[in-house]
Amino acid sequence: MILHTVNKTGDCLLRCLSMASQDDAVLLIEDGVYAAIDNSANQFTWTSLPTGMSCYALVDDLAARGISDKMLAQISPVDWALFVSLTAEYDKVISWG
Amino acid sequence: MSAPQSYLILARSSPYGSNMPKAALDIALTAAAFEQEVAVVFLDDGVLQLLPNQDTESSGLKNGSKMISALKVYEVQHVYIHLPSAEKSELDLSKVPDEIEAITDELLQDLVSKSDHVMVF
Repeated sequence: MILHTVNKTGDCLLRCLSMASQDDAVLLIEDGVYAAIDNSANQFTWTSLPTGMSCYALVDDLAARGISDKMLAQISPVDWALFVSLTAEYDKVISWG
Repeated sequence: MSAPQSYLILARSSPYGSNMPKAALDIALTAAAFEQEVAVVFLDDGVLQLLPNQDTESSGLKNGSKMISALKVYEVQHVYIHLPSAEKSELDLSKVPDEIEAITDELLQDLVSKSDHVMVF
C-alpha cells in the first residue's frame, strides 16, 4: 500500500501510474492537479488504471489554478488534514516530480 | 544502531540538465555509508546517465558517469538499468558498465513494493 504524490503532469504522472497497483493511492499536488481536469486527454489517462485505486487532488492547489469545478468524477478533492491522514494510512509515500 | 532499512533510488533525470542526478548519487552514497541496503535504478531519461563516452572537459561540467561505475565500490548493493527505458532510448546495453544489472518492469515493481523507502530523482 503506497501513497504516490505527483507534482507534475506528463511523463512523471505516467511513470507513477505505470508503477502503481490497485492497493495504492495517487494524490495530485501542485502542477500535478492539472491532470484532474475533465478533458479527453485526462479521461484517457485515468480510465486505463487498475480498478479500486484511489485518486485524490489537493483542494488548495485545485483552487489556486481555477480547476475546482472542472474535475474528473473519479478524483476526490482532499484538504491538508486528509493529506496528512493519507500519509499515515499508507505504508510509504513516493514523491514523483 | 537499529536494523538497516532498504532504500530504492529511482534516477529518472538526464545527466546534465539539473542537479537531480547528483542528488540521487549523494543520497545513494550517504545511505550506503550508513550501512543501509541501497539499490539504484536508472530509468526513463535517467538511462542517458549511462551513455558511454561522456566528455565534459570542454563544458566544465562534472562527469557523473565515473561515480556511477564506482557505486558498488562504495557498498551500493545493486545498480540497475530499466530495460524498457533502455530499449526506448535505443541504448547499447553492451556498452553499459558490466556491474549494472538489467531490470524488467515486473521486477522493478516488485522492488518498489518491497523497499522501505523509495526516492525519485
